[in-house]
Amino acid sequence: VADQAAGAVTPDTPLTAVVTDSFAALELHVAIEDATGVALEWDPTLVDTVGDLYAAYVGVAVDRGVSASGG
Amino acid sequence: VGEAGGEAPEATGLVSRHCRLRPVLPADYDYLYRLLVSPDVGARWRFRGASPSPHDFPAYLGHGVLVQFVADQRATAKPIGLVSAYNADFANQHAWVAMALDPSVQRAGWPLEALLLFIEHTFSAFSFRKLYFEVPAFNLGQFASAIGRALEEEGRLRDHEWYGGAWWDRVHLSLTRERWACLRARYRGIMSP
Repeated sequence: VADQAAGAVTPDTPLTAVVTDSFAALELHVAIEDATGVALEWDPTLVDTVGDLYAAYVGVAVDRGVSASGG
Repeated sequence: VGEAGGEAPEATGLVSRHCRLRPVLPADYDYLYRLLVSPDVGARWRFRGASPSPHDFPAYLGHGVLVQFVADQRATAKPIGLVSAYNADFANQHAWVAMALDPSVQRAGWPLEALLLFIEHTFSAFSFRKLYFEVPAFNLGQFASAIGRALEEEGRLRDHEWYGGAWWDRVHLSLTRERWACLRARYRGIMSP
């Protein structure tokens, strides 16, 4: 996930392009928790884009490639 | 039994943040039968599209199985699937693992906590070196991103399985105990209640 996000991902990138399968969803969840130190209750079906995902955690440094500026 | 005076190993938990593993009970047979013979799941599961009679189902369910659990979603206490270890080879220290997941939760990541718990339990309870997963190629897309990160492809049987009017490869993936030791450290947070 981090590798994918470090490439051409922008805030408008559909989350389905990043979370390609269940394992990717799990990995993204863990990556965000690692970066934030916060236990998340996140359901990828509740947001549509990477920007939505970031917006859900505004103010939190998600340094695994998912960023408001597109990483 | 370890050395005299040594500390007992930490008990293996079967509860994660979102999931709980529990034994299969007769009350689960109806749900599991519907799940495992359903068009969406049945072809991917060990039954490969076959549908044993409901009367024979419990015997089929346990055939070749070393250990298996129903996975429940903790928040709802409703089942979301089944995890199994089967065809255990104790001489060579490996076994095969399968997971059937309810279609209603297949896109989410959290149900995989059940699989992580099960892998941890299996490696903890038995001295296996490797766990194998047999996956028809049409099913690889459900967790393709795990290949190379968590799982390694060890074999591919070309045009091995007939499904949906076409022949498909059967792919054999593995997870070694050593790799799991790294992964379990990474997933420790979500594997805890």
